[in-house]
Amino acid sequence: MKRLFKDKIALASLCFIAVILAFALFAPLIATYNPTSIDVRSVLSPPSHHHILGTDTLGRDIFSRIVYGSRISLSIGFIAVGIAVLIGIFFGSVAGYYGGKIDSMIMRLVDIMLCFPTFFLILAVIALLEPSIFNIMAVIGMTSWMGVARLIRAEVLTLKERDYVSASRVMGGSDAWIIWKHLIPNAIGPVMVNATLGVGGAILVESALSFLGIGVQPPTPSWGNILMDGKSTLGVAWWLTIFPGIFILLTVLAYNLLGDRLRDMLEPRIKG
Amino acid sequence: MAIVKCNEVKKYFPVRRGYLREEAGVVKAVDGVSFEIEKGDSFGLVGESGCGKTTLGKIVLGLLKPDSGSVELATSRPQVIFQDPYNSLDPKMRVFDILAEGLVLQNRAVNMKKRIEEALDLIKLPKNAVIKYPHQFSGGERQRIAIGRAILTKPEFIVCDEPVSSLDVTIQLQILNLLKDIQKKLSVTYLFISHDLRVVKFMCGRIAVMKEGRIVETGNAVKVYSDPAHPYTKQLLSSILDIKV
Amino acid sequence: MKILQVDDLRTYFFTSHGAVKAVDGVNFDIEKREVFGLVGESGSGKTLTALSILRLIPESARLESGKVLFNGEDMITADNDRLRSIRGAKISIVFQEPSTALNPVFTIGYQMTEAVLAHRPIGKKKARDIAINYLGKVHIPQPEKVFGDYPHQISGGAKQRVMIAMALMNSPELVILDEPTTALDVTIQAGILDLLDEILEKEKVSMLFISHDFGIISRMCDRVAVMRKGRIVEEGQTDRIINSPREPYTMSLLESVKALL
Repeated sequence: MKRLFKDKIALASLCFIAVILAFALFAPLIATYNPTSIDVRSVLSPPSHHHILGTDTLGRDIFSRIVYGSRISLSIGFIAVGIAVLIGIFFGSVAGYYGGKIDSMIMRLVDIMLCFPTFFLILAVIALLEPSIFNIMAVIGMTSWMGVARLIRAEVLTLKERDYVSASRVMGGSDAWIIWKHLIPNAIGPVMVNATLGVGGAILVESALSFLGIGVQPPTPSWGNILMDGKSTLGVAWWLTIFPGIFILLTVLAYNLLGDRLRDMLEPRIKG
Repeated sequence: MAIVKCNEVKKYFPVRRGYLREEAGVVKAVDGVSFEIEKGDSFGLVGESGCGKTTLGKIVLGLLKPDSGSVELATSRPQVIFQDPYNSLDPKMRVFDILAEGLVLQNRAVNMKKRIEEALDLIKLPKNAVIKYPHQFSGGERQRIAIGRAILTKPEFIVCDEPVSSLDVTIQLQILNLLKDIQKKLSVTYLFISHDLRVVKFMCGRIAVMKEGRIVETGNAVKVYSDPAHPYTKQLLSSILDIKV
Repeated sequence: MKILQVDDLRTYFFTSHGAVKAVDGVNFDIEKREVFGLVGESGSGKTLTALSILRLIPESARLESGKVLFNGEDMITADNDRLRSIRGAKISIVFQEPSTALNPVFTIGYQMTEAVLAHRPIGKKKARDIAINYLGKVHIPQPEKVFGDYPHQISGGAKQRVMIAMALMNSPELVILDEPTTALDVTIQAGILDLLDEILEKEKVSMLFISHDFGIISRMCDRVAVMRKGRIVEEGQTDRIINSPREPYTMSLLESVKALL
């Protein structure tokens, strides 16, 4: 942990993520306007004293929309990844622990899932169901668990041979007990990296879906649908595109860099 | 009264060769082994690497099922102490939880704190050890924790699989003395597996010498060492390098 | 006539928690044709001492100070070319784990001829002859066949014999052996030690023999130094050390050994 704080890039990423987290948690206190209040007089005004990041086609304050949008992006990011991790841990530990036919079946499922171009799969599912925030979280989660499953399976394959697992079995530990108490806590290290990077990925997917109009629906602000509004007005109102774009970029970058640094921190320890 | 009875135990492992992992033959890890351990004894199983002693130990513990033959245990829930103190304790668990696991699994968690304190006394570790993690201890200390874990459930029978082989020689003696002490205080029976003839002689009453999956000689330790019958036993004994005093 | 003189050798590790003085002022000499033992428990610094002599220390360690005189020449200040010409030739080393010392993707013959050619550009055929000759000297059955084998095709004891052969091929004056039999079964160990006895007689080398096992030290070494926490605690003739140790640490070590006799 201490080493993470010493690393400047990791520290910077953490600070930025903390800021966005603050946006999400304290949105009503930070936002300058109500994100959905329409103000016809200030339609498409550039960044100014009153609206620090400008306004959109309906006169809504961009900064406030971005602050409230962070709630959507972060919650979708965390929950989708949470779902993916839970599914991945389940399949990975069962496959690694039991081996044999169960392992083959689960790994075939992983292979099949990996064959789908995930984004188009998500598009298709959302198009069929209604684009609610819950559906988005669930679909992203259910299409990105495969990496976690493989990682957990690989770790479990090694860990299940450890003497402390045998000792537990001798003392009467059931399969479920061993998997839950001994294997998962020890296998979860590499998943932290995967999960951190996954949050960035989930944010990107949500933004893309919302940009295409089938993600978060207006008037709820999401960084993606603010971008969608900006599409038609790009020539006249650059702030509608640039600002949400920058926030998406920086947030995903922060998660990616944090994940990278986490991986570097874990790797030498694994080797040593 | 025999606490462990093994009768013609066999365990073969398939050898897979080639890209398609076809079965090319078998490794006869345990090839027809029979022996009995009397209650209260410290029974030594000695042999070089690959002779099958560890496999046999796992079969006695129930971790592996024999392909044929039988193992009868006149006791419930034996315990085990493994060789590698760096792998036998879960690195993510505190010592308290490591020690308590056996009791928790057997639903005997009453008076747990008191029983753990008693165990700590026996293994001579301080009370504050319970909140620490394994990596904060030395190899010898970790082995003590492993012993503590094994004795907490008050087992009648403990399998010790090379318990001192990974330790420095001064620590080895400490741990062996601790095991002897525990045997006296708690009336435990040991199956003591080792490749080190000196250690087995120090610890054990009756011994069995294993080679390539079979027992070649059994008998009282002192007698076997002073008057070995089987040529392999003789060869093993002559390879011991004692210091020339 | 001293073949090796180690004078106040210090090798330290530099970690984020401070300096670890793994070798902390070690002094000893080895006479020509002598077998000198270095005995100690794990972490005493004995392996690192041997690696420091050949400057094979890991990146995180540094030779802080001291002199290592090989036939009067200081190894610590020698330049890399000089060092490389000595390593593997004049001073060779046999490690504990033969399976990690041999590269699994090359044949034994390839690795042996490479080791010869690195010091003497005499051509593949002559190098092969030398290799097969030495495989015979270490009593490897069917040396020509083993020459073409891969490491995984031969046993642990055979691999160690190959390592010993490789250590001897370039006619070293000093052979360092770091726990050469620890990873082997006790019956195989006996064979290796007999082989080393034979080599001592025939090849006229000096040996630095490192072990944690007093039994082996007692069998192989003329003189021995007892190491603890990077320092030599006591040194002398093996018989004297074993039968009348002077230092409390030596006494406690021997007590544990004698208890198991």
